[in-house]
Amino acid sequence: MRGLIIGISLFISHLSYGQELFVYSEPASNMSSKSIGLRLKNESLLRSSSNEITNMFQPEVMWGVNRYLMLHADVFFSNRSGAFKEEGMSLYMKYRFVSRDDIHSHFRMALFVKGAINKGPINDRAINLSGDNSGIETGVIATALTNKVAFSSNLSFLHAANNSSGHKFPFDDKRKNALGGILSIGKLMLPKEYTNYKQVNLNAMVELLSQWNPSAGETYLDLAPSIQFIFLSKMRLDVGYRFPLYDGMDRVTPKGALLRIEYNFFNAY
Amino acid sequence: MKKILLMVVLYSGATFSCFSQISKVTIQASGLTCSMCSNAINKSLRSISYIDNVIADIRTSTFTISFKENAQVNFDKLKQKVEAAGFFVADFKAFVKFNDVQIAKDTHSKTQGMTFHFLNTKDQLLNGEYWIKVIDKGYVTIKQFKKGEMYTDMECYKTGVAGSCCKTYGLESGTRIFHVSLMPNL
Repeated sequence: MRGLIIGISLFISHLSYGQELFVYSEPASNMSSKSIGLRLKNESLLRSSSNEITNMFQPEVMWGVNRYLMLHADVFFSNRSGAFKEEGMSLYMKYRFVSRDDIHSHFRMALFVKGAINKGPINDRAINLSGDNSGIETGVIATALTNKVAFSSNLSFLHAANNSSGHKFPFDDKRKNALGGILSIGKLMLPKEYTNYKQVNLNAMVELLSQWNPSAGETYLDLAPSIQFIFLSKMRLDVGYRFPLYDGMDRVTPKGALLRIEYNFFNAY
Repeated sequence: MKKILLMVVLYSGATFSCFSQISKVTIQASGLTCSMCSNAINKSLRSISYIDNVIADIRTSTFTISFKENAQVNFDKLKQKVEAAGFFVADFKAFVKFNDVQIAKDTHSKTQGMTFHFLNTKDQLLNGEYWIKVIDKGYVTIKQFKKGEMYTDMECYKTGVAGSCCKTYGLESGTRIFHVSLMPNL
């Protein structure tokens, strides 16, 4: 019995830490205070009607204001109307208000708000503040981490407004409000054991992305598997693919691949 | 009364006959998720000018910090740097040099610029380098901090600063006190 307890203790002590740097959502944790992160993201989305590919390119800056607060700002470029052009931007603010940390685990919660402006045409009944709609989103994130595995949920309220440049919201007003939900699971696959900051980390993640419009009685549910590499403990490469399990909103571009690189400057100032 | 007199004698002796030097600190952080998070703490700690080197054990989230010569090490500053990276301190030990410092259980000893309140420690004369573990709030897990309450009734343990309980030692109200226990040599 004693041997078993010692064995279990040794096993637990040899587990590395889990991963919550999700590809399609934000965890409740913030980036380090006084740090700056730069991201370049491209999503290649397949247009269901014509099988054409639309690219959405998003440069993004992240700022760890302090240990509770972080900000993101990004700009959207798209080639959906032909050549690549700038179509809008968004600001995102996240405030961590719960932290229950232990050596090999933590539970954290955060509130977030996101505002977006977009001047492109609106094609989808689903609200997307990352490239399609002007609007606002606010919600709560809860993230739990135990050893190698992280779980996170993200619940939000979305409100779409008219896009600028004369692109009004083309659907009924009741479609302007929706509820968003994301469930994410991430697992650290490599290295088996950490020895230094230069080791390449490999994380595997699966996320369920959904939106529900209660007034219109419409919903969608997407599955988004992804893998992530972390280099030199400061650079990230994300590769993901998103596709619908159920699409009650008849979206124009419901599936596609994501590629993102990220570089972090810790203690940048 | 006898105990109070002993405390005054111990405190006075400590004040005038000792000096301390802190050559090393080890911090174990809690709540880490990956090597990138560990690196965030590493970089945050290294932003302190008097830190000479940080050796990180990513697997155990432990950081061994060495300091430049004659550095005035500020424990609270080190703790803040871990918290600025988004994490917490779960264990904090310092390797401190004592020269002829008489310590006693549940009493205060002042060294150069720092006041230590020794808990759960035998009365003894310290001469040489010793590991001490800081058990103040925010320096250990919440569970461990609560456990520490069994070793003292003094209110300064809860606040981390001198209160009415510390007047016997001639400490000004609000003086920072680090509650510590002496570790066996690591």
